[in-house]
Amino acid sequence: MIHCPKCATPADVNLFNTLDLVRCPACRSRLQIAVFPAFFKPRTGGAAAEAVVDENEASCYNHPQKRAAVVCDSCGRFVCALCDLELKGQHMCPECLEKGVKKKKITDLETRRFLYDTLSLQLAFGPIIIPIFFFVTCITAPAALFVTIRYWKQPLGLLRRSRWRFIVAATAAVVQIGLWGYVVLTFWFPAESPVTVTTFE
Amino acid sequence: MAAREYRRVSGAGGQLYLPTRLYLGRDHLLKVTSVGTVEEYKRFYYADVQAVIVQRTTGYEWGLAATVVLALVFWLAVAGSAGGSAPRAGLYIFAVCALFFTLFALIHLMLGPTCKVWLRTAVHDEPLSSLNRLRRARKFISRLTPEIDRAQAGLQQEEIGSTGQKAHAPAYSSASVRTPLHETAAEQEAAGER
Repeated sequence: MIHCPKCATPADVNLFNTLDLVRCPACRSRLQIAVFPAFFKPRTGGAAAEAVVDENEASCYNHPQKRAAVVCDSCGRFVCALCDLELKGQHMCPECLEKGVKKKKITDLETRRFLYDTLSLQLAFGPIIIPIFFFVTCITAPAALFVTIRYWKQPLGLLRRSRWRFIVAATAAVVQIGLWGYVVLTFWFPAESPVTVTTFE
Repeated sequence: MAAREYRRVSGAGGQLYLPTRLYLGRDHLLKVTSVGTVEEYKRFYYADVQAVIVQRTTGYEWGLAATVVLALVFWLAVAGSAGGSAPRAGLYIFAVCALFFTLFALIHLMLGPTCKVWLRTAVHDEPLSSLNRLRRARKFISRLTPEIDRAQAGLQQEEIGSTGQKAHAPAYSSASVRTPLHETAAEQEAAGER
């Protein structure tokens, strides 16, 4: 059942798939509801594991009393219908799926990623944006360079294709480190005064 | 490469601190939320999408009224400052503010009415905060529909008759995408006759 988002009144089927916005009969808010065939599909229960009948039958690795239905494509364990996790045509056991997600080998189940290239860019340019904090660049510039080198090979965001953020951040970091080096050399090792020749008469 | 599997559907929208983007994949819709240096992903498989619900909001009217009033106030201030002996700095500040609000009002007017959109699956309704304009929401529906048609093609046969349940309304499909942008000539004639 679809409800009006404003007043939670169940939406009548006459409000489905209309040409334009229609008004909810209860609260008069304007809605457009596009309904697809999946809405009408009856809900089916999940697959239930069958009990082992014969001693010679293969049983599930996790449930010895349940009959094995498939073999895990990753580790080869026998698993029952309940433990069978199908992903893109492959059957996996819960342990292999968990391992794959933790080691980031199964990108289809990945729900978050840390973007080291964005961090590097923020470290390189963040303090520059507010001139008062420019002195902090003596710490953030080396940090940006470290992040770039250390995490260069880490997978980027799911949608990103190039490492241009790393390159820009590293370039900016090198320039900032160079400037700091110049400042340090200028103040700590000032240029020697030219040699003067004194004549005695 | 994974990145080429996705086509961008909408620009960044949502809250300022939680921009979200939508991408169409081969078999699922990907919602990406950026939180600082972390990206969070949610996948909605086309076979599971039951409905898209669009609710028109009044943000468009209120926003337009507020910006127009502010623009008028600042233009009046500019007019008042121009003739008198007020300092020029004040005139420039008023002029900049007036131009800003005028531009804002024009952009707001061009973007069109505002709305909220939810994607409904069997387990929950997911808000799609990046689709905050009606035009954008309808474009999203027209791009999503063919993907759902492909994924739910088998269901269209089942929806009538197989379990004794009959759909009371025809399901949304690309063949009958009924939005003002996609009205067929026949539908327009029928509407004219009515």
